Amino acid sequence: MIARYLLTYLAMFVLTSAICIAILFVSIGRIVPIEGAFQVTEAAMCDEDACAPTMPTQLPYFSEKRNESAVQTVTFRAVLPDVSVGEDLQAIYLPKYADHIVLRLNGTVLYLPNMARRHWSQPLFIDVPAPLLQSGENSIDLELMGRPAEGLELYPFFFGPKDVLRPDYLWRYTFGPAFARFSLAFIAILGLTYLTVWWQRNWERQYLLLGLSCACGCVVQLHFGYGVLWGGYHFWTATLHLSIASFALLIMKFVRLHLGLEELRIERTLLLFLVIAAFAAIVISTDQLQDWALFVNVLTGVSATAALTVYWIHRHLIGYFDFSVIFACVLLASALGLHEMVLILNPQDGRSFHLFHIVPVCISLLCLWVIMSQLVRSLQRYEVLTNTLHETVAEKTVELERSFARLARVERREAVDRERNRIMMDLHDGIGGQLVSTLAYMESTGNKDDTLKEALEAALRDLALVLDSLDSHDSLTTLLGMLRTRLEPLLEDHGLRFDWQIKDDPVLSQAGPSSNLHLARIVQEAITNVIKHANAQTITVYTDANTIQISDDGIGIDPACVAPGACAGHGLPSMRQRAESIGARFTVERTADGTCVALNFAPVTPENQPA
Amino acid sequence: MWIHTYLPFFINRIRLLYLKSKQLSDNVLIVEDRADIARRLKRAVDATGGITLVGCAETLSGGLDLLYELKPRLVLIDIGLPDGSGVELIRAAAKADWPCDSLVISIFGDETRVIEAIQAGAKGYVLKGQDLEKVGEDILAVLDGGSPISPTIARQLLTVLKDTTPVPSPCEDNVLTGRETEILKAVARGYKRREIAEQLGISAGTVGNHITNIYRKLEVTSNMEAVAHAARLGVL
Repeated sequence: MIARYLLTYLAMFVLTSAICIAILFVSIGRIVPIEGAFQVTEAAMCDEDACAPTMPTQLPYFSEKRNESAVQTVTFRAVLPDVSVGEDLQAIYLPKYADHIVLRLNGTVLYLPNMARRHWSQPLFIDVPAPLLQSGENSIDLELMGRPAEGLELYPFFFGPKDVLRPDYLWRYTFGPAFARFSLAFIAILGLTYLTVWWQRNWERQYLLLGLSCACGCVVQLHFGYGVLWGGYHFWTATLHLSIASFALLIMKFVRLHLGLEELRIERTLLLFLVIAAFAAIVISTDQLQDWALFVNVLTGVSATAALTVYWIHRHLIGYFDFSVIFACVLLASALGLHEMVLILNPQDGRSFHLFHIVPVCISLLCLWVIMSQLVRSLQRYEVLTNTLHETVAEKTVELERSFARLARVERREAVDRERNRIMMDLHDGIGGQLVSTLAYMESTGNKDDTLKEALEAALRDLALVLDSLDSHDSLTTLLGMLRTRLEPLLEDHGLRFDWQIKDDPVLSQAGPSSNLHLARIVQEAITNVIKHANAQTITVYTDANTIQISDDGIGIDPACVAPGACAGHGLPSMRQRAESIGARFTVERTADGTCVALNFAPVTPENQPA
Repeated sequence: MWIHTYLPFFINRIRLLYLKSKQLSDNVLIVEDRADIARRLKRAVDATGGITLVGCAETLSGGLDLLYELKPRLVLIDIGLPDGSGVELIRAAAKADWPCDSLVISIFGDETRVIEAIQAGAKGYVLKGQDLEKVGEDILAVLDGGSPISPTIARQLLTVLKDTTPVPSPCEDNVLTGRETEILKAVARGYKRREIAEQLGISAGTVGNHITNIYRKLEVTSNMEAVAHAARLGVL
């Protein structure tokens, strides 16, 4: 695990260095001769009394780096050879120097510096008034001022027609200070926006990080764009380098949040070091500031490489495209940081153009892009969610409609049931009670009218049958059982008994209370016939899944009654008709023992066709 | 000295007479609003030995008054009384602090009311339209401990007692045993007690006992339901 981290770290370091070397190799901003103008490539260093024309110094000139923060002056004298000037206005153009300069042409001061602003990253363009030029040689005196700690620099400069020199100046100016100033405005506005969003979004951390990083970026751009020295050199330099380090730390935190990782150890370490460095900056002397700055920048660089390592190792956590963009930008920023350090530590010809002011912009755009892609993803998720919501709502509506329909059906059925029960109760209590009462009255008054008594009892039995059929609508055997209970007293009166053989519930094609009632009436009629006509002793009632049979051991039915339509007095036609109405086959036959009435429910197939 | 010999003898005789008189006749109260049917039931009770009619009421309130005044051994109750449901009277009889059983008087033996009555504590039912001897026999059978049952009642019991009860009981007070289910199913198909006894190879008396047990379970179920209901309401 650790080995993996170390190897990746090494790889990142190598990668950063490679890009840095590539940038150096390109030598952006190498000062090349401009056609049509005179390039001053050597100048004589002067001390208080005289200049040494015989030992001119080659430009670019870099002063020795010493830990001194007091401003030092170095004077140069450059000689312009006899140049024939035409009608064009002339100008002097210094692409790069550091930090301040006083320029005199033939003794007259052409330019005085603003000591509050350092010119280390800006080109200088001075119009030369024609009268100052004299024919023959002209001499230019340059007083170069700067801090040895940072180093004084003077690069080759130009004298020539204004129009010829202007383009190069503009180029250098645009991509240097102008770019830095413009990006200052951009980053400042961006920072304010982030802080507003942070306030609006319930203090979401990432916006605070970005807002603060923009503040640090502003400091960097002020330094690069204006060369300010707010608060004095010590304070400003400390602020600048701490800002760069803070910037790196804040961006590391932001990217780590975006990746969804736990807080990295390097963040804590870096923060700790920053705090220590801040304290150190307060206590050390201005002379040691550059060494301190170096230390802080090295720290920043190491942390940046460590961050790159972590991103690379966790690259599977976010999308491929997202990761490539983040990684490329941070890598570029690190490379540019390294490049800047090289420029400061080892100034050389060809390293006249600082590129570090690109970094805040690049990183800010990266962060903006990250926020935007978050937003786009949120919007997409929102759309998907809304669609799902619509679908779910539609589904639920359909379900709800179905539930309501079902509920309505159930309520209707329950209402029907309630009504039926009410009717049953009324019949039961009303008519039933009356019949029983009448029978009791007959008994108590000693009425011996048997016909009347039998009629009343038959009516009572019939009512019981109707009520039973409604109640036992799902069990025919129970209905037959109740029938037995009702008829048993009658049987006993005539000396008959039942041979009860109920096996299974017959399977009817149209089951329901009315079918059951028909069947019960058929059975009742058959039994009554046996009681009245058969002179038997036992009535066998048999059911299985396909048949109901009522047979007796009596004298046997008249064979003539077997035919359909015959013997209406025995109720056979009505029994036949009832059987047909429920889809059963009705047969009555005389057997060896007596009579057998049968109902058959099996579906007709060639096998069970009656012969 | 003859006090020692004869006094215990006399006390014993008096005690025996008292017990015999108790055994000889159980007091019956009839609560029925239809006059003809009430008269018929009176005649049935009079014609049956071992039971004596002590009172007759036509309303629920009248019935309750007579119940507490006469403290009968048996109450014959019609459910459909003009001023209320006879089930209240059944409950009162069940809670009585003297031995008191109640029987439902029913026209057809229709199950819903009979089952309600049994759940409230009735011992069974007698049919209004039966022969007088049959009514007397039924009453004596119930006093003996038997319980009449009809096919539809049996079918209803199968549904009611098989249902999942609202309160899960640790003891199996309200669940039918296999034998009980068999008997109920046979009754529901119309078989009589002796036929069932023959089929299952047990005595008719055992079948009767099973049915009585089933009725007790019904009462337990209704009690438990009442308890569960009360618990839900937060009364208990």
